[in-house]
Amino acid sequence: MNNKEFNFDDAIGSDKNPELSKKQHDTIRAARKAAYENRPNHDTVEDLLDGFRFSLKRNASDLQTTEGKNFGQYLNDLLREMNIKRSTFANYIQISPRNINKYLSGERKFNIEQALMLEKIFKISAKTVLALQWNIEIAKARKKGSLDGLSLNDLLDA
Amino acid sequence: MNVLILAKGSNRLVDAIIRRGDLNELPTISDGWLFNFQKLASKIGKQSYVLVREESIDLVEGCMIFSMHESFGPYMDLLEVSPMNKGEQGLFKNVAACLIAYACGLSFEFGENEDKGILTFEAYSKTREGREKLIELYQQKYGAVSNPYGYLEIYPKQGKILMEKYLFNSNTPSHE
Repeated sequence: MNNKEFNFDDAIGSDKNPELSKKQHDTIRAARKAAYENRPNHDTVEDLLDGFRFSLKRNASDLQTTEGKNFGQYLNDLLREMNIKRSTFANYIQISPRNINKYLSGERKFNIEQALMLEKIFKISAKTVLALQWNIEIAKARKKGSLDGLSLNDLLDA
Repeated sequence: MNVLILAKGSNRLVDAIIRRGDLNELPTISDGWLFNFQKLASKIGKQSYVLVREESIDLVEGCMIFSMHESFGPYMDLLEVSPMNKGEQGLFKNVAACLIAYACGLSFEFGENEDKGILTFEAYSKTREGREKLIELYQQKYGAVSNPYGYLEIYPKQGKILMEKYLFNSNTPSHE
């Protein structure tokens, strides 16, 4: 690479997969684990929330990146990672514990009031919650192609 | 995800999008790029992302490949800006920074437990001096830290700073 023609971050990395010895691997894993154990609980929770927020924003803004996962499934993953029981969560946001599985599988959608509660609890945008819930359905409906014949010109010409 | 890049000529912020890249749109060496992104992205476990401008969504301004490495966890294999954006004469600035910040976000999303929010990448250069110089620059601009094996790591606290600066650019909790 000719550094005179490029900035230092114009190309980063290499196309070779990094190969480490077992000793190097073990050293890295041990260092990571030690750092994690000393990490304050508050920071760990914030990291989980940051991952959750990023994945929602990433998927809500782009139908192409919707990787078959709906909002309820993302939320289910977060609750599991945070060791929050589904029943505790259901009671807290006033959903019947019998129905919570339907929300967390995406079968049932959170309404606007519930989305606002989630916004307050998890510091995520209610708009993002609602958009993400519908993204997959919109993408599926588009794929059906049943709208292909629709055009404003049909109305103007009538 | 919507981001902003800087048009150098006009010093104007331009709307851009980072999204998953389809294999057939990824750049190759024959397109004038240094790396063959198509080839690497076709390997198992490699996720490719492209940065495009909203007004020309088919023109790739920058490309990045992310994967989960068995030792490092979240790993940025490769990042390159388009030939038109390279060097001081490049058309758009912050393309690399936005993609690095995005990779930091992916490290929060896909990293688990002790790997969450830690992004690793390689400071690749043919010479030792070159690599040392690169490491110094990555430390200065992106807050990366060198690990004992010559790889660079961006830790959660710094990753959040980059995400805020290049992806969210807002202090509101909604991050809209």
